[in-house]
Amino acid sequence: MRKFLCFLSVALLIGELLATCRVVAQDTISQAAVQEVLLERRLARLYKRMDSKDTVRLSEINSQPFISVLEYVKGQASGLYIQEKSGEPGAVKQVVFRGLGSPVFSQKDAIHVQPTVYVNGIPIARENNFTYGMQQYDFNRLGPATDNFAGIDLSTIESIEVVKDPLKLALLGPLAANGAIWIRTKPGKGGRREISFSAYTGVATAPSVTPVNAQYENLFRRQFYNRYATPADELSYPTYLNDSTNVNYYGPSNWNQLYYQNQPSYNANLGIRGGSDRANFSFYGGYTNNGAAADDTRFRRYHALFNVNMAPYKWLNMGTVINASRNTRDRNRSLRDRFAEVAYTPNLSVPMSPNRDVYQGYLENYNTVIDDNIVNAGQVLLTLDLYLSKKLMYNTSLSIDYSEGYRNTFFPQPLMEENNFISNYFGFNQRYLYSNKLFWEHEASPDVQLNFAAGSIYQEDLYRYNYARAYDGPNDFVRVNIFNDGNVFTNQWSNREDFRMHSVYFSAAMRYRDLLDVKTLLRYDGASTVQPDNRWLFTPSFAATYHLINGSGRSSQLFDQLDLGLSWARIGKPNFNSRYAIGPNYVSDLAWGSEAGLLSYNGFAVVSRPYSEGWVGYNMDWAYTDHAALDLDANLLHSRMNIRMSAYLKKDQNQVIPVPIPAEYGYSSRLLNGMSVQNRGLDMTVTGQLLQPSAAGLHWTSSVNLNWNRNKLTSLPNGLQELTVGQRKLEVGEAIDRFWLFQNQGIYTNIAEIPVLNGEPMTFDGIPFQPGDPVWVDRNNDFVIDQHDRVLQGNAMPKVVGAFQNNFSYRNFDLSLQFYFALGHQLLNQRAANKYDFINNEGANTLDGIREIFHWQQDIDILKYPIYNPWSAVVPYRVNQDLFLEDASFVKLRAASLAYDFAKRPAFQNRFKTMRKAIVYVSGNNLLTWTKFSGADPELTDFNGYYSGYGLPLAPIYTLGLKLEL
Amino acid sequence: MKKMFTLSKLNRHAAALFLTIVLLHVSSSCGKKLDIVASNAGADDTQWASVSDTRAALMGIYGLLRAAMVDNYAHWVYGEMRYGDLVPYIRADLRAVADNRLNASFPIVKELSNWRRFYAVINAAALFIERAPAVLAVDRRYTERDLKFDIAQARTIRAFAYFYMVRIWGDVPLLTRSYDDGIFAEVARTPERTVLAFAEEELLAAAQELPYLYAEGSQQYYGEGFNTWVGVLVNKISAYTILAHLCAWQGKYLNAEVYARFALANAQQSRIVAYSVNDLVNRTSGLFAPSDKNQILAIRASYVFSEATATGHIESLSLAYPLVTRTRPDIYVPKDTINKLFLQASDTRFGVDTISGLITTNYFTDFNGDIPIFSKINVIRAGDGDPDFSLFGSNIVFSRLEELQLLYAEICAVLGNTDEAMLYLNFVRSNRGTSPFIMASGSDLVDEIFAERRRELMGEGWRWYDQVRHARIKRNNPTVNTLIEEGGIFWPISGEVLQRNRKLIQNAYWR
Repeated sequence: MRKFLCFLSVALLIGELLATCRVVAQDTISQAAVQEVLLERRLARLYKRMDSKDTVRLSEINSQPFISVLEYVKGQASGLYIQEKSGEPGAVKQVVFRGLGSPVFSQKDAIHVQPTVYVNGIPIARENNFTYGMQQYDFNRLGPATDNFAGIDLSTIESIEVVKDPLKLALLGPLAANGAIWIRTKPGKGGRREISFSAYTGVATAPSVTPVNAQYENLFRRQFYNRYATPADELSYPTYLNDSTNVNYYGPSNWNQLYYQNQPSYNANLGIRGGSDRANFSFYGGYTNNGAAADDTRFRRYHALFNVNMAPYKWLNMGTVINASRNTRDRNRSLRDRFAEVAYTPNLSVPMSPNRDVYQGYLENYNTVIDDNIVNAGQVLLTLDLYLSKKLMYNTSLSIDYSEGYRNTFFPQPLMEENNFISNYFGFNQRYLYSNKLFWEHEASPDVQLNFAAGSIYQEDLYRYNYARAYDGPNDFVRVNIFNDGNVFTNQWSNREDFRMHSVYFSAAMRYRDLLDVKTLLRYDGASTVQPDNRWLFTPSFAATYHLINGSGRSSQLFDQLDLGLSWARIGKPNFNSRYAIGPNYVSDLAWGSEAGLLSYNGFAVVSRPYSEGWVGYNMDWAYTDHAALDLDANLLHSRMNIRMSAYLKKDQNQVIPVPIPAEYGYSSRLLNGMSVQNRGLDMTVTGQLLQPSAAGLHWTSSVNLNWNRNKLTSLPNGLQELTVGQRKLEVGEAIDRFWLFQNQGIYTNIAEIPVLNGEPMTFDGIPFQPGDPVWVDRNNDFVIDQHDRVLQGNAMPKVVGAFQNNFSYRNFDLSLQFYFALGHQLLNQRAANKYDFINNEGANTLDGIREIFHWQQDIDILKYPIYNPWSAVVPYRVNQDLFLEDASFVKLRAASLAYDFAKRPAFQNRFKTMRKAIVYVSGNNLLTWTKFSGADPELTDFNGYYSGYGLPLAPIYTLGLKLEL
Repeated sequence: MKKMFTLSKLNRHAAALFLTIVLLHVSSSCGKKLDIVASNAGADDTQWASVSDTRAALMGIYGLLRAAMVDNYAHWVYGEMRYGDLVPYIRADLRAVADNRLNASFPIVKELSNWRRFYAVINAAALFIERAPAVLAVDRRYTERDLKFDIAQARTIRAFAYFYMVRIWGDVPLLTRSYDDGIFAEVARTPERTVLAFAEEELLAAAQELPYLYAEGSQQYYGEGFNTWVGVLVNKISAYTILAHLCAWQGKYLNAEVYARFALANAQQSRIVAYSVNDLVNRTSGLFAPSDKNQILAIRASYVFSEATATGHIESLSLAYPLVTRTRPDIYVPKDTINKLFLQASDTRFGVDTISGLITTNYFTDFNGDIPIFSKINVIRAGDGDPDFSLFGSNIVFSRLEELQLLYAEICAVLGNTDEAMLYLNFVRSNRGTSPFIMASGSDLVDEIFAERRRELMGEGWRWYDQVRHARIKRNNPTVNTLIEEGGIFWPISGEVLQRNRKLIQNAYWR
């Protein structure tokens, strides 16, 4: 079939060449004007739009201090859900298109469900997951852990589209299986030279919190000790709470004055574009420096965009775009993140003092800290359109995406019990695509227009990292780079992952008058990470749109335009793990539960079967996703209202998941294809001009977009009906984002309340319940509370997500308000569970037991939870119970801005004739949140739905800005 | 006409350019570009091709054994915590183990009921036994001798893993091949006796092949000399010692006597000798330290090879300030226990001179503080590390000469060979500076031998198994004897393991 497509395109080419010669010979029209228009059109076609209806209204967001593509699109298109788990600028964000296609159990799974961002058609490579293999904790990926999409400044963007149409996604291929965000940067433009300048300055404002000191903590703990403690437990009562004369702990708690501070943000951009009809260019450059109100975190970025387009001949058009950025960021200083990175847990029994002066002293240690996080990223596109004839076009383009990350750290002795730490990370993602496409327009008859395209894309990805770390150097002054002299403990890791894909495709489109559009696409994709037997995947796609009502001819009173579309596409889902392509394989398997990074035994490298990672057999196949959509697009009331609805069905099929096998073969699991997840739902966007443009000069445009999604697991490998993965359970027929919880119904206050069967009290997995233990529902009435009594409850993903946008304009003023909402989901309050489970957490010296400086505040509703016996062997405050399940729905006033355009004033125009825009604006961001959640902000939840309390607040940012175009 | 010519010429240029590009493209993309060699995993057809593969696979078995024995502090939690001398200070999970509440819901208890890691060792060993012979034909550097040594090691480790598991779970499924075919059939539990019979057979066979020493003199083993391998690999004495323990555990003391006698008689050939307490516990050159002393069976974690870790070693549980920075240990030996066990002032392990008040304390630090710190095993980094960066590089010593001597004494005592038993008991006692045992003292010989084991092997993962053997012999420990009768000496099988294999049945005691 693949060969057939190759032949087909060659045959097509030869046929058309012959035809062209004939056509050309007859063509005698060549007026200069026609040629010029043609040329302009051709130059503009170099960088394609996806013609998607879901576009970001840039005017609504370009007065906000956003830095990531994901912030730009948040709330701007239905079907896309973006969650910021921290207000730390430049931190990674979650983005999901039309529901989860595979379960997200931990941070590293998030990448498998995220759409791809294309910049001028270049798909940006994501950080590979392989560093997690040597990381004991996956709170952050190793390295700078910066948002992959923070390299594109808003001022350089011409358009952002959210591609939702199945057929268009299929055209983009496997990388777009989870959706696509299509960005076009500002292209060169012929004609008068345009200069644009924009700048803002802003301030992130410190949130108000209720700090507490040791007295609060003492009172909190005494209620457990007074009720349940044995004399031995009393002996081990923390000493810092025992001594109420200790001013460090019992004194004023005012750490927040240092931790939360107003922080400035600023940005400036300059751009110029111009040229002639044969060549044009654009150049943009700028600098951004955004601070967050918590923990002195900050993000800085330089960016530059350069575009040149040329048409040396009418039949030869070419262009190049270079987009480059360099960003650095100051990350948070939480103990958890540091100890997780250092992979060494010092003594955690004594927390930091809540006192400002003591905290100040601690922060002074940071003067000698090195914590560099640098990302250099760039995309280069070379594209060439060759017009073999007016109707036959050939495009060849080379796309390169490269980004490299550095992280250098040095933590001096006072930060880690007189033990210092140094590390160097360097990693890069490198992707190039070489694509070729032949495009033929054919008018079969006056009524029937045909388009054909055939093409091939070859893609090569390379991911690498090198990491070294060393501990306990001789002192803090000699920060020698990683070395190994036998006295300093040094470890080094590196890894490499390759991915290559070759795709060939053929597409045909037919337009019948202005009534009907029919399209089809056939493609073959071969990936190096799929086993040779199954390497090539054939996927067809179809789409049809019926223009029920359109401008010419058929019309109605109500509608100006009404389109109905139906489309279905199958798209392969790529995997970026070459281990799958090998089949049964050998790896180094030395790690155990609490040590991830071991490299040798007695100094020798080892190989063994992948017992910990799971068996890979000879039958691994492609996973694929089927997208189907029924679309309605209507303009009504004389185009004052637009309604777009899309009912979709998305099935992510044949995905790989670890399946349990008998433990007696040593493997943790076996990796098998066969997991299928279905998402169905409705995207809706309604836009209306509520006030007539003519009426008193006040314009009001209002727009609502929302997505309603229902998720369901439809199959597991081998016909399994359920699968337990860690603390989560997958059950066929249920959503994959559900929590798996014990149902809490209070407390056993005395022995008489504990149910007894045949003289034996009810047990928790064999441990008899005692007074002071929680009442968990015995679902199967076997008088044993165990895994069988856990139920699937709640959803980590919202059922409804959307935004409500209002724009008012009056004379030269513009006011815009964006409300953002996510409804119908829950979170598990791990922060509360960790605080209550202090006996186990602090006893075992785990990272869960860390007391951060920001834990000295009232961030938990302590009236919500019963007082259980924290020493009990049933672990009463385990997080996986509905006691900690909370409604995470929220509505936010996410953005508001007020702008005034001086350029519209006649007086101004007379003085500055070339001024096209002179806007001054004020804007606010993260202004208000409405939620029932008892903690701070329910959005600051980990991607798996656990609220750890570690997300920095999304604090309000106020900016004052200026935009000039002349 | 001229215009026409120009137009067609333009298109001919375009066509020529196009054809060039297409040709270039076709010629480049038709290669085998999609067949790439994964750089982070080995394929089946490239593995088992050279001596470096067999070495890596052999070290892989040891590495898996290390992971199995230290994950969740397995060796110590299994061996020391149950009714042990080391007791938890605050940790509720370890307290549950100490009280034999092994069905408690703490993660560490749940994970320790899972035997997967031991089966990974067994599978890797079986795979090695099946695949290594093929290397002989492919790589001429791989010699018959090395193959013989390697397979004997794999068999010994596999048998050891079975013995280790049987002590913990009783009946376990017996798999004697790797079944490396992706089928993974469910298998039921095999009676303890059958499993141990297989292990005994394997060990006997392997013992014939194993050398006393690797790379002795001018010889080399995998291109490395004596110092690289000493104390690292299993040898002939290791196999016989495991055999002796395996038989003693089953009460087959006649067989145990033969094996232990052989091991004792030939220990010298493996350069296994007895040490003074100072030599034993020396932080940098002792038996637990990364020394060049040979041992009967130990698992290495050398700091110099970056294998020292913060977790997995007993020091992570037992050490505290001032030896490391944390204020309190997780487990400690209470003063009362110490005073009860170490009765003689001259004991070089621990002794209190009741007149002068002087304390000899090689096993403990800060005896006069609230909580004495068990510091017999105290290897921070290479042993000379300072407290502020406590990675531990100690060996897990499964058996050393003193342990073997006391085992032999126990065997002889059970078999009624009192003289021989006293000889070896007193050998250890004189080595520790305590007075010899005499029959006339009125105390029981077997009790004395176990008391000596309790002192000598404190913190080495023996206490629980010793209590079981002692109780089996003497029937004088009601708690343990009841547990033995009811099968409560075994751990429950974790729910996850049961779920993954429907042919398994939970131990009766924990049902």
